[in-house]
Amino acid sequence: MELSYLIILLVLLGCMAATVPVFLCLFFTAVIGFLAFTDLPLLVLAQSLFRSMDKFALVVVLFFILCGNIMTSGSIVTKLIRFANAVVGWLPGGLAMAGILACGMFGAISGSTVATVVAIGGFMIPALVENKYEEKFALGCMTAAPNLGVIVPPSISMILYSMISAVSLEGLFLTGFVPGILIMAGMCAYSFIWALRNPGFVSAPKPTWIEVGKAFREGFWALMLPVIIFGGIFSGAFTANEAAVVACVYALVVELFIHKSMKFSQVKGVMVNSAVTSATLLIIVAGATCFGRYLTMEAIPAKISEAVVASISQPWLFLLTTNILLLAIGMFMDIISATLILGPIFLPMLDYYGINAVHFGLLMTVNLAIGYCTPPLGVSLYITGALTNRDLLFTSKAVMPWILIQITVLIIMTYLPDAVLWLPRMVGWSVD
Amino acid sequence: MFGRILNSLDKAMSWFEEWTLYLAVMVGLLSLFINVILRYFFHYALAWSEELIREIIILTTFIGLSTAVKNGSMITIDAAVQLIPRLRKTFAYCSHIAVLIFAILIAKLGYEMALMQARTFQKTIILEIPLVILYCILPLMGVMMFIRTIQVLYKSYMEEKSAKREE
Amino acid sequence: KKPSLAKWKANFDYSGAKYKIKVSNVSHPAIKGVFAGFAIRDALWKATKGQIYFEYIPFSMLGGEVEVLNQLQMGAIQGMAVSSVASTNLGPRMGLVNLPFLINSYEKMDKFAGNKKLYQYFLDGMKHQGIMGLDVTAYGRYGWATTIPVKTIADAKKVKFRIAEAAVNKLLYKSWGFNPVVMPWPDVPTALKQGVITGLDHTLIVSYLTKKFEVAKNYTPVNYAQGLFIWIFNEAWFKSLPEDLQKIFVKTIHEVCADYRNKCKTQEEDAAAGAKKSGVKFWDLSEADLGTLKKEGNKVHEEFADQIGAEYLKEVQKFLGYSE
Ligand code: NA
Ligand code: NA
Repeated sequence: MELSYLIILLVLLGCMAATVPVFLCLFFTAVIGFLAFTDLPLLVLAQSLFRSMDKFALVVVLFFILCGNIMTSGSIVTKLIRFANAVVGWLPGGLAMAGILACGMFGAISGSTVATVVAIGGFMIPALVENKYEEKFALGCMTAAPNLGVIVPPSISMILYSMISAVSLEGLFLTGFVPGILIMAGMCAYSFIWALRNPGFVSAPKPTWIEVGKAFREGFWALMLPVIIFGGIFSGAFTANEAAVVACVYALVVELFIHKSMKFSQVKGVMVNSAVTSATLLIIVAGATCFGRYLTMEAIPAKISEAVVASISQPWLFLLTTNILLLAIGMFMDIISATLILGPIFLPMLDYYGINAVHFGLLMTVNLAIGYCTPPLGVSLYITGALTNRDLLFTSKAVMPWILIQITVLIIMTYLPDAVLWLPRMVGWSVD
Repeated sequence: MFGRILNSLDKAMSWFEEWTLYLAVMVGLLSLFINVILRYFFHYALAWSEELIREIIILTTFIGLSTAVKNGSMITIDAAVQLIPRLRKTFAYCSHIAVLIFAILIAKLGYEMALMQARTFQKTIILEIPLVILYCILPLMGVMMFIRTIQVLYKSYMEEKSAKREE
Repeated sequence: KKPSLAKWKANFDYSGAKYKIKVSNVSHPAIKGVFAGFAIRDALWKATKGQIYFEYIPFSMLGGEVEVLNQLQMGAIQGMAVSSVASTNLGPRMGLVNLPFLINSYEKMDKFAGNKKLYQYFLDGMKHQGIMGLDVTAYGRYGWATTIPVKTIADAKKVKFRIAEAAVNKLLYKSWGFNPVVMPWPDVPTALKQGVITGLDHTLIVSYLTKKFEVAKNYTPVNYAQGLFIWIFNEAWFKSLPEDLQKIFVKTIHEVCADYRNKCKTQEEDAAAGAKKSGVKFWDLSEADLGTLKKEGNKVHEEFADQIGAEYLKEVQKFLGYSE
């Protein structure tokens, strides 16, 4: 490695360690790279920062965040959890299963894991502990399950990957269902077995059909939300952008007029908060674009590709290496910068190994999603840690078995591309 | 005195930020929704809605960042702080100084960019908004982030002082 | 198969070059008019005996076209092969070549380039910005790549066309009564796949080489204008060269551009054959519809006459045999 690259890497990691905001770490590293190793003026970077926001593909981020916030401020989330609990709550480990299911349903509306941790984890962890679940179990389960927020579409990392790779976003979205369902199944099975092995443990009584029906009726409007988003995208009626917008309007109407759990005076606050959240995410996109500008100027992605292609000849080995690398990088980097910086490095190599770009987009997403729960930088670990007053060590240990389940699903997905690609193919999105 | 100036600045800026963000998101949501309705039922599309929404994303991101500084909600990596809690204060200062440097840099570069757009009379294509107006968001953001960071620094300084007094 | 990552690397050691110039372009070097940059690089290296290294950066590596144009203006880069559509952002006179049915065949292009006076006045369209134009290469004639067949003007009205970020094109589509979306080129693949747009206002060569036909499987060769890359350079940088190098620089660019302009026509024929073979359907507008397009398009000539220079425009129209 050349010395200049080493300096750049140290600057980046140094800034990150010093709790400098992530977008600034990226921007400053690009500034130093530009000043020291290129003869381009900094104005180019300011321009990149500005122009990187001038992208239609990013619009969808704002509106999926808005939709999630409308749901959390109103009563849609509570209704989803209540419905999930009515369906599976009576099984051994049922309450945990309900939490996992709720994460999946919330994930089918929200594009972000952080939103899912806050919305579902914040409610479920105390509920689980109250119902005699071990704290470690509850914490681990509700830290890992929100990964479904980004694996089950819509997903911010898929949005960004589709933006840089030009694969169909709708097609990529559809690949998220199979791993999402497998992860839910795996985690539910683990809860079931755990509950059976802890005999003193009592589940809720089995609900009557009338009770289930009641929960369904009450949750009907909430349950229709994922149906609209996916029915719309599935049938080709909406683009992802339109689905996000329609979902926002739908959620607003439901919360204001049907559930009446949100007041008109709250609307402004929700919109402002969503804009701020979206700003904190999109500014990382801008920072990563600047950093990417520096990398391309120095032809670093091309150099890395050449080195990789020269040393790895088997596709399976390439996939294995990438998975390990992505898991490792997910330990230190957030999902947005990782997608935007690593995407352009991997994409040119896919052709060479004959790997489908849509399949790879899913692998990147699942890999980096797992990174939400891996120390030292695991955003979810910090959030649930703060909710329960536990330190990083405790939460990291608690989340281990759950992460292993997700890694298992990841490995299956890695070597069986058809297991995820059949769905978009069936619906008719070109994924080849 | 200094505190009072910061306080009234905070009020004015919060008012500006909130209304800008609220109106921008509302207008964006409505124009896109109308576009969906038009496309779906009338096979018609508004030519300007795509351009408008791109400009809204620019506006909300850069203005929203100022609010994010105020709330301390910018995304950072807190691993080091978690592992070595006694460095918390030092790191916080590092972070604030970084934001200050960025604010100054972007105010200066943004101003130069805006000047260049003014000199060359460039406009957006559909709505014909002069680009100088759009690029002015950059220096505006720089100034606002600077003031916000000073406010945050002042507040934590005052809190520390009163905490010491209580001891 | 081996990846072609290093396909366009210079095969000489340029570290000792006395003058270095960064020249950008947003498109793909598979287009001859874009590839010309690499040819210029090699020819210049040879002609100046290793004094000028023309570092060519295609592929939108420095950002979108308007973005790069601004970089040239602020001196971040020294040259650019700017598309005729984007060039109007800094030099309204350059909108001349985008005017419908004015320079819309290879013969007319050659004729125009052959008239020293009219051609140079066109190339000087950004002089007031400190940017000089030296010559042009081409990327074919403009038509429509669409997801539905477009055989009539009525068909075209159903299409959501992506047009370039240029005022002339916007006005043209407005006069035609079509439904345009203006977006930067890098956003096009996603937008096309998402159905945000259902058609492209572009040339056959570009639509074919950048694989847009995979989604938009129909092409209507309207041939209303020539797509050109104008090779523009920062004048201050150029003036900083010693006089002998200035001469060699200009001469080399003229030679390579002329050569690559000739290659465009063949490439268009190859692209048509290739596209047909891969299942793209070609549709022609009727003479009557073309007449309507021309008639409606004349409004754009009138509207832009002042920006381009009314006298100059009239002279060019007369020279190329354009009539309303
Ligand atoms: Na999701
Ligand atoms: Na992590």
